[in-house]
Amino acid sequence: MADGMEPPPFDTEEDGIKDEDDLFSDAKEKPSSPSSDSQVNGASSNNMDEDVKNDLEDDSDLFKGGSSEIKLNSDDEAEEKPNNGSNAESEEAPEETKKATPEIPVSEALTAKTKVAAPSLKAEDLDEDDKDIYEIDIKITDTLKMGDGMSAYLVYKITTKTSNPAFRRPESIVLRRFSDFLGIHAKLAEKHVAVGIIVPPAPEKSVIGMTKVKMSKEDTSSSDFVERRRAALERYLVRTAAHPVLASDPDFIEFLEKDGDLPRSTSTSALSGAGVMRLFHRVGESLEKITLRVDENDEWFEEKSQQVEALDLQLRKLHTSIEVLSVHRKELCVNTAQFAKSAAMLGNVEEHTALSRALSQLAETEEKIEVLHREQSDADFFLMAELMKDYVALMGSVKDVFHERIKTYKSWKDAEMTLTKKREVKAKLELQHKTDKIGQAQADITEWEQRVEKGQEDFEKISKNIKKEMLRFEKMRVVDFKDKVIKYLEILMDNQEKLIKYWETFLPEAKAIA
Amino acid sequence: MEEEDVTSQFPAQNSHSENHDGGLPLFQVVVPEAVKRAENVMFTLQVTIVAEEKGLVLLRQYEDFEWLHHNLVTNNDIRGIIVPPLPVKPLSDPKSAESLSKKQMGDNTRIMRGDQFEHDCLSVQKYLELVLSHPTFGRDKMLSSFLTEQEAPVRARLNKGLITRLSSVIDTARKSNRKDVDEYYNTKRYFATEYSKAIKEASLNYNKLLVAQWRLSSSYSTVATELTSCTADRDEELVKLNRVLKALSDGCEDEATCYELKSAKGETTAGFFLDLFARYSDSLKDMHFRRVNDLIEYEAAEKALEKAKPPKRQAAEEAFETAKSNFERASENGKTELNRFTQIRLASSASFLSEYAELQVKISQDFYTQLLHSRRALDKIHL
Repeated sequence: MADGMEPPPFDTEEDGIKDEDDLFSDAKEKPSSPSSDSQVNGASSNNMDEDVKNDLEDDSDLFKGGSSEIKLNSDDEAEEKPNNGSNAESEEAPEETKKATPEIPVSEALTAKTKVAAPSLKAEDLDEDDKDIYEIDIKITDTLKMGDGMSAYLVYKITTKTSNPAFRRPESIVLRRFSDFLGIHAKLAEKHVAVGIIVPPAPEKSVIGMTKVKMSKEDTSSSDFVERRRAALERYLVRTAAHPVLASDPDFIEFLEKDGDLPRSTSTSALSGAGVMRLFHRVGESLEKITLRVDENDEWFEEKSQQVEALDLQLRKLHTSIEVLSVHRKELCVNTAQFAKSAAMLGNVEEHTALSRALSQLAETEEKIEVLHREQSDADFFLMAELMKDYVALMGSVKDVFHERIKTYKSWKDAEMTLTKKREVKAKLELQHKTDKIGQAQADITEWEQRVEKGQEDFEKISKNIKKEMLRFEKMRVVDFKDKVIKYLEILMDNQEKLIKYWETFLPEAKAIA
Repeated sequence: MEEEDVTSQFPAQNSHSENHDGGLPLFQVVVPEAVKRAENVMFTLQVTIVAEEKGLVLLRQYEDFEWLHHNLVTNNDIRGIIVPPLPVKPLSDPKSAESLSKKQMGDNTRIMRGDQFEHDCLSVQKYLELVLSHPTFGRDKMLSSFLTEQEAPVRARLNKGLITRLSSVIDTARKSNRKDVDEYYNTKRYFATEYSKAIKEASLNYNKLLVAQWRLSSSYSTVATELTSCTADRDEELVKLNRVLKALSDGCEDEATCYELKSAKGETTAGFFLDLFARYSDSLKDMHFRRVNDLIEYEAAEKALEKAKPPKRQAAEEAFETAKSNFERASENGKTELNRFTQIRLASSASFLSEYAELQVKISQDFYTQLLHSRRALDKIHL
């Protein structure tokens, strides 16, 4: 939590800018370059440290003046927030207000505590962090098949409800194609990966699955695929929207609310020339990843890299195992159905009335169980396998960001080397008394000194951003996993409960035989 | 536990057979275990002589039972009798056990199922029970000596030639469609054929279901192991993540054990019942077949008697009388036996179905509680 020590004036300035953006325009934010974006991010994440404080201040607008000994920027933050709140979160804001009873002494005490023992408050930080983001609820409600034959494609109906004033409407419905999703991802990645933001990856293109959809007249056989993709795309959007910076990216907003079609993005097609180029590019990058090594002086990164690799491996394995599990569950489903059938048959043949009825009941029970297994198989897949798959992909994004940092490091070191050379040139010139050229050399040196400085700045910034991003990412990850695991366990429990019920209903029938 | 379950069924059947034949069974046998000795599987028999209240422990191998069965069938008049079916031969060599395990668990499993002798023990015990409580076989001398002498009787090699088996199959096919003189037997025979088909199918499908459950269970435990494979000590978020994964892993472990239990218990209840009656239904068919044979002989003898010339008339009459009494005995015995069979079937079905349902309820309840623990553990993880 070193960012807590960031010099306040810098932040204040940035906050000012942000403030203006938020209040007066939605379009003005668009031209913001990656660097300014990251600064905005820096500022907002600085909030994290002050959250507790801010929270209390939000609650106690009246006492705000009293907390003047607290950093200047926190005041600005506090001012900014109620404004936004009154704009859009008018309904949610009062609820939050009631949560804590504000007292200034407490707020001071907490402020001190945040600085000293920041890690212990991480969990709360996250919650606060989430509240900083505008409410946004994205759903893909429908999938439509457009066109016929090989030119057919799927269109997804996206419904967005948001309190973010950057949107023109609180609720918008748009139709987007799969390639649009790839397009928006490409745009976001281009802008934000360079500054160390973990951009959630878009689902992968599936030529086979899509071809099936195209070939099938009715979407019975392919509905599984369509539903999978719909769910994957929805998760992608929700994940992106959960990121404070990405959520307010003008391209992302445009994607969610612009009526009509987006310009076709050609570079995303798997079979196009651009696709091939991208493939080459990727191969090149992965080669680069192997060869490029930073003599790491930051232990944190070294450790994280190892963790990410280990987790990546684990998740991949898990993903395969869970898919196998889902397949086995499906098999069990088929077998249960078969057994139900033959139990019914046995019931038909049986000459004893009570036994015959009991066997038919057994068949019915097994049929119900079959349905249960099928639902469970879906849960295995949609909850667990897809979760693992998503995180395998996300691990890729994390690695991308790490790699970006190494690239930044390299260009910084390159600049340093060039600078050394330039200095040597100048020294030589001085020795040879070529005074006419010394001026030029000096200019070179100044230029490269600046470049080195910028390189270092960039590197430090990206390192810092990545740390912050990782912290956020990891928190999100735990929350996400916990959510899904709870859901999954509850489904398992639910199923056991149903099983109990089924068999208990059956039991009297069995007892009635003898 | 399994043995207890079966013995508790035992008295119910006793009381039934006592109605016809007081004092049966003469012995009570429990088969607690079987061990592999060289190539053979040795069953331990705990025999209680009911009249003397004396007990002894014997060792018998599968071939001894085969020999016993052969003798029972050949030394007794089995007209109209539904002979309790001999259990299938236990798998004793490691290769066949491995191939069975692979068949059940899938080819790339790391888990091998152990020897399944418990199931064989149960089958043997059930077989002895059925034989001992049977009015015809229950007092057999051979059976008594089999259960009282330390040494197993000397066996002769049993020749079950391919040709005899094949000819009997053809015979069965030819004669099974024959119209019966008795409508009762017509319907019963039809039932036997249909029932046999249905129960074999059910048994097969139930075994497939069990296999699918084993596989599911094994893939759950694979997932459970993989969930906990990543260790992290220092990193706070990773520790939290691992705690979440641990809860999931526990849940998966629970599911794995749950299905394993369900399969194991299902095998000894539903699986056992279906398997027994799949074999029993063959005995039922055999009984009908033998009776039809008797009927054919009877009709042939009748015709021969009509055509017989005086010098041979005497012999023909005798043959006719024998055939008639044979057939009549077969029909008469058959009726009691069919009733007995229905009784046994009902009692076994009732006990298997309710046991099965109770087991399912109990296992599900247990694991519901287990899952609840994992679920609660998650609530304790504060994010």
